[in-house]
Amino acid sequence: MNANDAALQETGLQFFGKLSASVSHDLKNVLAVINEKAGLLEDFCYMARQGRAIDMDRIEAVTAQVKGQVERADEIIRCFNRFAHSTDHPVAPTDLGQSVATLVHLAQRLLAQLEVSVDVRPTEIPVALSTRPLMVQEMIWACIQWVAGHLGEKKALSISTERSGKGARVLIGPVANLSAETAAAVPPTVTEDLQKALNADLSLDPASGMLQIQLAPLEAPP
Amino acid sequence: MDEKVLLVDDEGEFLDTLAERMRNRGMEVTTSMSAVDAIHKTEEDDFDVIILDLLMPGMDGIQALKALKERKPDLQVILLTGHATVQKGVEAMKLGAMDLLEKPADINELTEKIMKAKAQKMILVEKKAEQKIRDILKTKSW
Repeated sequence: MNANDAALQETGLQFFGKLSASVSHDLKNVLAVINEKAGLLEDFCYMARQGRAIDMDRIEAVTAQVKGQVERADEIIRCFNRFAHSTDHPVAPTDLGQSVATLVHLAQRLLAQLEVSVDVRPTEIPVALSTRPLMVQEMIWACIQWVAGHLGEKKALSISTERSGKGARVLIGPVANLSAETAAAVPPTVTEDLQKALNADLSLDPASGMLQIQLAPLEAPP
Repeated sequence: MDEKVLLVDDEGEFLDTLAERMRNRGMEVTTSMSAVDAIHKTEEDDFDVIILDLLMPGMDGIQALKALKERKPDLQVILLTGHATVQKGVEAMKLGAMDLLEKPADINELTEKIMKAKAQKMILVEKKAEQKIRDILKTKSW
């Protein structure tokens, strides 16, 4: 393994670790809510034993809220499982739209810390591409973070995926106050090695302000 | 129990439920979903203790702790975190937090810490009052 490969592996691991930590934090929050709801039901039991009337509607509402939190955790874990499986093969057919949706769902807390709202535009038909599943998400995340630092007052961005010839394209933006410097600056965390490994080309469209990630298909290793 | 508590967390359901359970235990609880709002509330009202989530959008718990302690050094702050590390604990204590608890927290443990926080605050208030009296006596030498 050469130094470039080692560097790519390291950044990939850091990306995986960062998202994993965010997921664990989200799940802790779900457990904290469930813990308090269970505690509240315990409190109701205690109050009932002390002779206070039981509010059945309240108990029903609290148990429904617990179920809601279980569904929330289930969705997080389902997405995380999908994300974890993106390491199964170095190069694989990848549904880009689903990858973006999974990434944004898992990164909700990180995006909330950036105080940015993200609108993932759904695709009518899946945008499939043979690529490096984890690495492409790493690049998309780096681009999201960069765009998030160059937004207007509204602090909102959209992400869409579309077919582009034999490859595919991911569009993130719009970047506000576009200048010549901004247009020339590829997200600094997206290294040339990462672009090369993904056969990707990054550019900023001055008309729309959208950061474009153009991806060509990769061949799976023998 | 009549502890006056400010509970700060961006997780609404957690905040509302914990607040209700604390009120059931006789505490006077105000809630806030952001550090910025919490800082405003501490300027308008006096609290015995603030329970503060460490990781929140915008200003996080550590930044909020710094800001709160700058404005009101006697404020007792207990931090809540999803992942308590020794490093975080040390950083929080250096900044003047009273304690650091990991979520999900046991309400009995939290209640005990709130009572300690109130006791600590009362000691500080008494010391200040004593010092004030000493200063007055010094200036008014009959």
